[in-house]
Amino acid sequence: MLHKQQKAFSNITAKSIIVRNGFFEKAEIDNSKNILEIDGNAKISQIDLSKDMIIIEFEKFADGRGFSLAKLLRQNGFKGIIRAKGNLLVDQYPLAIRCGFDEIEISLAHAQRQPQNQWQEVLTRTNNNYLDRLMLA
Amino acid sequence: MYQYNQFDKHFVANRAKQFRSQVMRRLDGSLSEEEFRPLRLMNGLYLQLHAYMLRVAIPYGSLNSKQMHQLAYIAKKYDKDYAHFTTRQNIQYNWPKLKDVPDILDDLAQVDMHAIQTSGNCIRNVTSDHFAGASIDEIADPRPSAELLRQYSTDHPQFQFLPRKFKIAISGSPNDRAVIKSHDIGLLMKKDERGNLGYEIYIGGGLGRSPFVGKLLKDFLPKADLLPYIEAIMVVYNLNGRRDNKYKARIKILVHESGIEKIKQEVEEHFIEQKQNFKQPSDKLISAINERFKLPNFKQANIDNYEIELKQNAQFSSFVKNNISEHKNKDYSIISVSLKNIGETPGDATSDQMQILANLAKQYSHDELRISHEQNIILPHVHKSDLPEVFKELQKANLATNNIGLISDIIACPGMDYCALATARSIPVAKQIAKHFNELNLEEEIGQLKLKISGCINACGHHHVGHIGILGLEKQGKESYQITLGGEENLSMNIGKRAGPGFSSDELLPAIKRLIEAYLNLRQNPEESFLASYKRLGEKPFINALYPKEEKANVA
Repeated sequence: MLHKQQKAFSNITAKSIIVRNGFFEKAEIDNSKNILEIDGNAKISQIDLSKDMIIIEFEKFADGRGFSLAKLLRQNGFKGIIRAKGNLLVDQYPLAIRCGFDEIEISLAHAQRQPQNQWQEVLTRTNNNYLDRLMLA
Repeated sequence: MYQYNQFDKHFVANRAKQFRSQVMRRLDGSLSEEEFRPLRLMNGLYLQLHAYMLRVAIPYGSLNSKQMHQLAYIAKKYDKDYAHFTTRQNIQYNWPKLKDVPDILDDLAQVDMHAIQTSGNCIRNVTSDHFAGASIDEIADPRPSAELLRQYSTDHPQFQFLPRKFKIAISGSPNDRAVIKSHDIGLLMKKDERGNLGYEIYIGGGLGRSPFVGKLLKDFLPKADLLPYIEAIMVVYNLNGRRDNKYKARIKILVHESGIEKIKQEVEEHFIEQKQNFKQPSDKLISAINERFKLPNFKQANIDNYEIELKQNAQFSSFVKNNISEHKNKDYSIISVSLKNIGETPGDATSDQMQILANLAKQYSHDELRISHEQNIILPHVHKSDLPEVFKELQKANLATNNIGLISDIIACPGMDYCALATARSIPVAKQIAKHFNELNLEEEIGQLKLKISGCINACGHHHVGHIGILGLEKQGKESYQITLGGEENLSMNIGKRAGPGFSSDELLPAIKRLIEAYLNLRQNPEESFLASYKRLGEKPFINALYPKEEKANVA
């Protein structure tokens, strides 16, 4: 297990990494993309929904405004990528996905303390939740 | 009684497993203490003054005998053979070891119980009327709605990191026993002019350091709109509640600072959006929930023995007078078992007592028990012919204290004996007051009186809504107790008014004695309660009794 983790890190030199589908990937800025960065203070009605990607910054992991912002963006029909930027806890990852986030940008130090296998393990928690059952059953 | 299905069982077992992994990650350093904290809190685990404290949910205060037996077993196996029932219809274990907590959660999961969202900045255990489904005055059983809210709020992905904790209470009776106006959201079930069921909704109530009476948000919400409407409120709060100061982060402050009209407008706007997007639970799911709260099959039997016992046994008739409430079936009764035995800690029950209550519930109360916010235990469906026998059993177990609603039926927070936040002791004060009036045999004479004690300004002992409230503070290294007067719960909720300077722990009981003496002299007749006298006469004569002029003159 440890060997795998080290291997995952060996490719990464950037200061931050992206958690996508449970895997760590190098954070890259794709200049061809039309990106908007917002934080918890953003007003949904003022957001341009034609962007390719919206990055929602979490100043602190305990500041849960970003979860509602992502959900409202999806409800309003935003189809692009939504990224959370901030050192979210592994345990918040399934919540973020359920709110409509595609990926999370965390610092390298954070990734070292909460390694990839932990992010993969919690992915199963997106299944079998009460809300889906209430809405779909 | 709600019975868990496979989905619920699977979910609860999984959460216990997740917590085990979180403890492991804390121990291996993956999680810092700051990061672990919200996770352990979300699973009911606090770090208290002397030890960890585990708060276990009893959703809307309902449980069966098997669950009560398991709570007793846990107290025996992992704790000091007793546990504490709280004002939020939960049970707290005061001395568990961190290493045992995952095992305790597994044991709880075996009987469909858990500690999920009993703490943390999320939607907490939904509380309800402890007489739900039994009381004669009920418009509808509030528990199916409470259960729907439990399912909706459990692990809700948006609302696990709110600005602050969030409490919802629901009453199905106009005689509100759930103190709905002291909650972040209070729901009162009612019918519109066509007889359709729905909710009157209050928002922004709360006790704590800044007490507020909940304000009317919606006069009538059709029953089917409950979830999208709650979601609208939660989104408004999650995005707009203050996060700069934890003492100003509750929704009551947002409502107070923004004004109820602005909140109403924002909630309505979001509600329109939610109604379009929200997939409502299916009728099948709703009826599956309702099905689980069906009334038990009430038995039919002669109640002559009950009538005879009432005439012949004075202790029994006194118990019936104070501890029995009217049931919707005329041959049945609701028993309130007082956990305010004189000289004991309010709300505490030993493992043995819990087992005895579980057995009584199994045999005599259609396997149902309830926990009241006043920290007593309810046997909700007891046939009158069984009352004499149940009373005897309660007497044997030291559980027949006949003081429901009287001055010794005190709500008290754990105070400085357990709590890290407390500034003064509450439990010894409660014991002292109860003992005094009990020894003088004055409780019945004084009649209905709600006395509530908090050991700090967070007001867990609900002192703001006590007819007499006591708030323990610390002044120059010494305990100082402030008295508030005229607080009231129920739909006429009122925040008690501070009477004047605080009393030292030695001065407190004499002050309460003067207050009660004054009331007994001032009341028009024995039927006029303390609160009624206070309302009729105003605060002045009561304040004069608390702070007698002669004494001041002597000192001067």
